[in-house]
Amino acid sequence: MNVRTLLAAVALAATAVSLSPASAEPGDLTGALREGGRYVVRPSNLVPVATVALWYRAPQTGFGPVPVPGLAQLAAESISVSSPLLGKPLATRIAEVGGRLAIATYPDSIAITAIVPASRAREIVRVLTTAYFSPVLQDAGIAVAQRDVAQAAVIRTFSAEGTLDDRVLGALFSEGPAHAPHLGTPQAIVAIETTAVRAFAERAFRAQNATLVLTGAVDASLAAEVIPGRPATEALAAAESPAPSLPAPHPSPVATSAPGGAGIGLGWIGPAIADEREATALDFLTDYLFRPDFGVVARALPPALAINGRFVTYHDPGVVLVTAFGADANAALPTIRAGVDAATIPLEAAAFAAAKRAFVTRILGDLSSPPSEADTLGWYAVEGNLPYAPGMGGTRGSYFANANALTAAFVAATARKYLGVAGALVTIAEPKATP
Amino acid sequence: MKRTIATALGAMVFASPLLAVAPVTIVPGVQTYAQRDATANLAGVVVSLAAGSLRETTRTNGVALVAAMALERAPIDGVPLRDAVAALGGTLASEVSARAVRFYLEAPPEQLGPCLSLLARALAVPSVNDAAVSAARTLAVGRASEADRLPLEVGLGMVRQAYYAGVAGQPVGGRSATLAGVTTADVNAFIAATYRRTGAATAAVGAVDDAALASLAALVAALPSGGAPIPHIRVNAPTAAPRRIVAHRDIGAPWLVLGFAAPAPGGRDYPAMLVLEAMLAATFDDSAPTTQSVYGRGTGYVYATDLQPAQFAIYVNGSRTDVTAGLRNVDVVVKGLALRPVRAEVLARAKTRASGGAATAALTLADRASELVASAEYARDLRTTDTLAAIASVTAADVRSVATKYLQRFTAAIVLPRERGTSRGAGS
Repeated sequence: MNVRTLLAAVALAATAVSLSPASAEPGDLTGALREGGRYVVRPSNLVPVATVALWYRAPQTGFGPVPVPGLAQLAAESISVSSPLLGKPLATRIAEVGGRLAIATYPDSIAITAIVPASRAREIVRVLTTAYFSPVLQDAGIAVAQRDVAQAAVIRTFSAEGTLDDRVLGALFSEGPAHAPHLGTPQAIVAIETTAVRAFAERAFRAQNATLVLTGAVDASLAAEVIPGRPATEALAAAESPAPSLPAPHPSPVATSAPGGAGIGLGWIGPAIADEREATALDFLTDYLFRPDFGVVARALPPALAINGRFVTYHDPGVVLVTAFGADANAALPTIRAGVDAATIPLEAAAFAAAKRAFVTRILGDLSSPPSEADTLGWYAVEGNLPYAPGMGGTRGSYFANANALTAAFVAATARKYLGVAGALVTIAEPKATP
Repeated sequence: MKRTIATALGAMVFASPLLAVAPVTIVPGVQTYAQRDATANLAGVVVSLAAGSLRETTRTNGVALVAAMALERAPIDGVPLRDAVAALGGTLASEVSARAVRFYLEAPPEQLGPCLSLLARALAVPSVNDAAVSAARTLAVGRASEADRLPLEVGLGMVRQAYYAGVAGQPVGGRSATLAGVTTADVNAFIAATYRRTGAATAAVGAVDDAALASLAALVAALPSGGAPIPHIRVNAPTAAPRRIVAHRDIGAPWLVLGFAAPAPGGRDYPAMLVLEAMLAATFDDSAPTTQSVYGRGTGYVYATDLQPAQFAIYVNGSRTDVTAGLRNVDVVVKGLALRPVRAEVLARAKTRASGGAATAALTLADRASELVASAEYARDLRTTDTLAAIASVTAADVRSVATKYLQRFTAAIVLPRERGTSRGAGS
């Protein structure tokens, strides 16, 4: 089935109902932390859960001129597992109250997220800020973290998705943290000097560079529980500036093999997060085309082939990433290209209205849990446009205002502008079996 | 009577009181729970039918999953149901367990009624065509093949099959071989026999208004009447001399899975089992930098509660820890729990952990709807089966009793790396 047929099918199913008026919602609460940095609080009352998250702006490859892939993850995990102030690893401390701890790093940001019973949110705010506003890194902790990150790096080599993301970003950017692979090699991770880990931690993990995000059954008084940590110094008084990644002028196609399985990846440079209108248009477009199970391209492909596409709202520039996995992933390329080509022509009105309605619902659905809300707020805060975060200000906020204002013509024009150029193309084959 | 989770948690302090959960009568005889939130942007509704894998035969293992996914894709006025729902701004998903199939609808409140009407039409005269079955079968085969490659899934499937007699021991999603033989006629026969009102349950969460509940009532009322009760489940209790089952897969290190009998939610021993589970979690804590996934742990556990009685499994991951040492550790721990009374401070810590785990189990609107409909499916009154309050009342003697009753006998499944010429199947 080609993309045009699918577009027509969606058009047939469309109705003339317009987007609903925004519902009344409690406002988000924001403020400044005592020693610098800020907090964002979004209360909700469906489940007795609190998410306590600390987001930092810091390049995943370190602040120095020579990129060190995995350094941010290693430093964050080293703090978590070093235990002079807490007496036990942070994850253990959080598990004792029935909670969970995750650490995620991105090209220019780090997120430490605890999901805990709401009744324990106050102590976990204290615990998390104790650990990450005055970081202490013991040699033993760094060694444990090195083993863990090295193992994650091995596992990532067996992930087609991880490999494709690394390769596509590596092709799209010629230098900067987005150009480097997410974790690097296991050998390189264990070779990182402890002094480098400590230096990175000291600069990255401080209140002045942090955004504390609280979601779930919480209120703003929790922000008062923050342990201030080190006072600002002259050298480290403010939040870090964004670390630029430079787009490659002409990304070269990449063909390689990886143990994670066959796949293809495509990437295009998109607008900065500040260009809310275009960024929202690409969010809509990637959802419409590639959302697993629902996107018109996703449904045109064989069920055995998994595809995902999204616009990643980095500070500047953003990136459109499309990845497909499966034995016949290469065969998906014409369908993906056809879908992208079709997107440069405005959708018929009814089809566009139905697609926009579905898009808004799915964005709202993505925000339906305290952890996903915290992820969204934290991401948009460190990438430099918190007011634009989906859900900020409720359905009357900037994101949904932009979504409601999208037109078929503008979406098509945005597609022409960003997807009408040659992007990155990565092809991965499974390694040939040795006899 | 209103009951809030905040009440159960005693000293909890919330920005605003958590929303009450209330039983609602929309159609006599059909259990429904609602947690309504006028400030939410979305509403979620679950319709559960007693059409899980327990209704299958050995030959048609997997038909319940194919039926659910095919119904999502069956045309309504020429458009696949899930696409028609999406065009209205909603999403439709299904989930199959041994006991039930659950259809979950999520939509903005003003669109929930029209979406429910579409689902009601699909369920009132349920039937699927070849194209929908073909697509669903392909997806089901893909899932089964993937599960068959994962050593923990394989081991859990082995101890499940050893414990539950008959179809209850079959994999819920079927096996590739049986799925390949499932025909459109099989699917429609399954649907005709099981997509009925008897055993149906529903839950509604989020921005659900009276009109939405009326639409839900209309959907339930339009379901074909009749249906069979859930069949009685027989188990093969683990014996004093552990049974060993071995399988081989393309993996790098061995896995060991020990399957134990376990109490089901709502049962008298269940709260103590949750506390025991928390004690095991603390014992198996490997001081990692983050909370590990099941595949990242050296030793872990899985509490499968979709059937009554339930099953508890402890696993040892040979890629993270030495399997022999891991087994020895598990043996010492479970025997020790039965031999010695638990110290007061250990019990208190375990209760804290168990309560926290129960409180954070559901995060999304869909999770919450699933949690509520599970209570409705099992006809457990939320007002009298308060998990958190029950955990608080567990005593050291309860824990020792449960450890003695359930954790001293097990079946051992061993998943080994395949060597050249090794057969794929499992055997005793």
